[in-house]
Amino acid sequence: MPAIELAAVTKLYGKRTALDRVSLSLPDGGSLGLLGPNGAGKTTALRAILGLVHPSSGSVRLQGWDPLDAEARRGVGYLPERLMLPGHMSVRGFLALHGGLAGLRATKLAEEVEKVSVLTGIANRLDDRLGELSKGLAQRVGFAQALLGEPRVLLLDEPSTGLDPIGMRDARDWIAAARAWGCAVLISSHLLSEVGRLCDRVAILHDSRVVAEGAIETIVQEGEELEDAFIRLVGAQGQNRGARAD
Amino acid sequence: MRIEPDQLRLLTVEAVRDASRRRIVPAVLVISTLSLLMMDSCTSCSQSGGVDASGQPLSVINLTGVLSFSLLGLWSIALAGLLAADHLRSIFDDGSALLVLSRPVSRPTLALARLGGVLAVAFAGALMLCIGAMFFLVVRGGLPLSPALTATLSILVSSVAVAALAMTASLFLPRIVTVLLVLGGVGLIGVLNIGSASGSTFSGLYFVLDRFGPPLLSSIVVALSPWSGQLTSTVTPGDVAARSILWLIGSVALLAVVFDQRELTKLEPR
Repeated sequence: MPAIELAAVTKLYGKRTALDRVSLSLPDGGSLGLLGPNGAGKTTALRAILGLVHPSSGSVRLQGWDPLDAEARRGVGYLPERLMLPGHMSVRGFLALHGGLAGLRATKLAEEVEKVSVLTGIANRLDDRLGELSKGLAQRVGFAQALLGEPRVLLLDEPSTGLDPIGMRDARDWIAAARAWGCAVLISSHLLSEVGRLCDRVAILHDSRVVAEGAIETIVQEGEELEDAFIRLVGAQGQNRGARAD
Repeated sequence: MRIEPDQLRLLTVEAVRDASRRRIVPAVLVISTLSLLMMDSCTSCSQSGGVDASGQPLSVINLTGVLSFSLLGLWSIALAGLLAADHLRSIFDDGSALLVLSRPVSRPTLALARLGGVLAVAFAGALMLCIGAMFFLVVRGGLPLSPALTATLSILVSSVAVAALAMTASLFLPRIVTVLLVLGGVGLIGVLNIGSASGSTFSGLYFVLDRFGPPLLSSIVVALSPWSGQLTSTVTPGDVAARSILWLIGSVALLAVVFDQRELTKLEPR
């Protein structure tokens, strides 16, 4: 059973098509990079996987469940693109709330909060209010909540946002740690190098459609880097669009 | 539509904290205190005035009791609606809703928790006013206690219905429109209820609202009828109680169902 499966998913917002017959699959324990320029539909795809948006047609399965069923999201960690944290809460309170919602209780909850805060380097900031944190620290807190309880599926939307180079390297370590415990990881990003290092497979979204999907070595042609392949698949169409606009 | 008690408890505690931090709360406390001070001065005399339905003279304390309890009740009900007007919507503004819903939390659980948060604060305000009013009217004025207790219960029940309806409306309307809808709706139903309690008859939409809408003021007036001796034939305690309970259940169920089906991206700030 795949951790995530999208079958011909279309999402319309009025006349605008956010996803156009998108099909994707992420096996248990696998990793998939969702690449695409801004507005390609990456965030909508992640939200459809979480049941936060209703597809106009097609089907989505998360751990075998319809994601509109809350049970589908048990054991799922999510880091949104625009991470906004409730500024009045303490880091500890925020992590405890999310751990509790994830089903962790009492001693196990305290242990998990401790563990993810050490892992993400925020152990000495647990009593700070979220509103007082820098963007980079806030992103670390976002990672910490996503990693609570050793999730089986991790959905990361532009995970490097706000992180400095050290933070980006740390984030790669956290994702590697998650993969080591068997977590399936889906990373949406436009940072090709990041995806190239972390994922076995990529799917390239452009104009709301999947224009390429597969193992990186099957997408990258001889002598190409992932960036070259991306530009070949997406950039040319973008240039054509620009030429038409001119 | 599964609701996990542990999740509901966690989210309700957070929603209560959120609601009690609202800037409107200190203003409500001041207004409530002023209302009670006004009631203190109103109940410090006991001259008679008017007659009841059986032709017996009514003392000022009876009239004051019904009038003030009704006004405080309507204010409490409206307050619940005003607090609810953006309490669910606000977690989309601060971004916490999507993170919560990425957990194995059903949408109705989140909606009911937010409603619970509003109601905890609204009930605290309503109880403060009602208990204060009871002190002046029952202890000082010598009026019987049980009508006040029944009226308080009806205020709490109506508060749930109005808050749930306001929260549902807020999923589609801007905050200011929801606020105006709450004030206008509670005011209109209050006027219609008092009109029908005084023997007036309505037609069309007004009739429907008065006869089948939430009995916001009717339920208070009926509960306080032992104080005033007034009860019109069109409004019976059984009818009012049944309507109150139906509106309570219906409005909460409506909130849960509508939020479950709502496209969440439409609630996010642009």
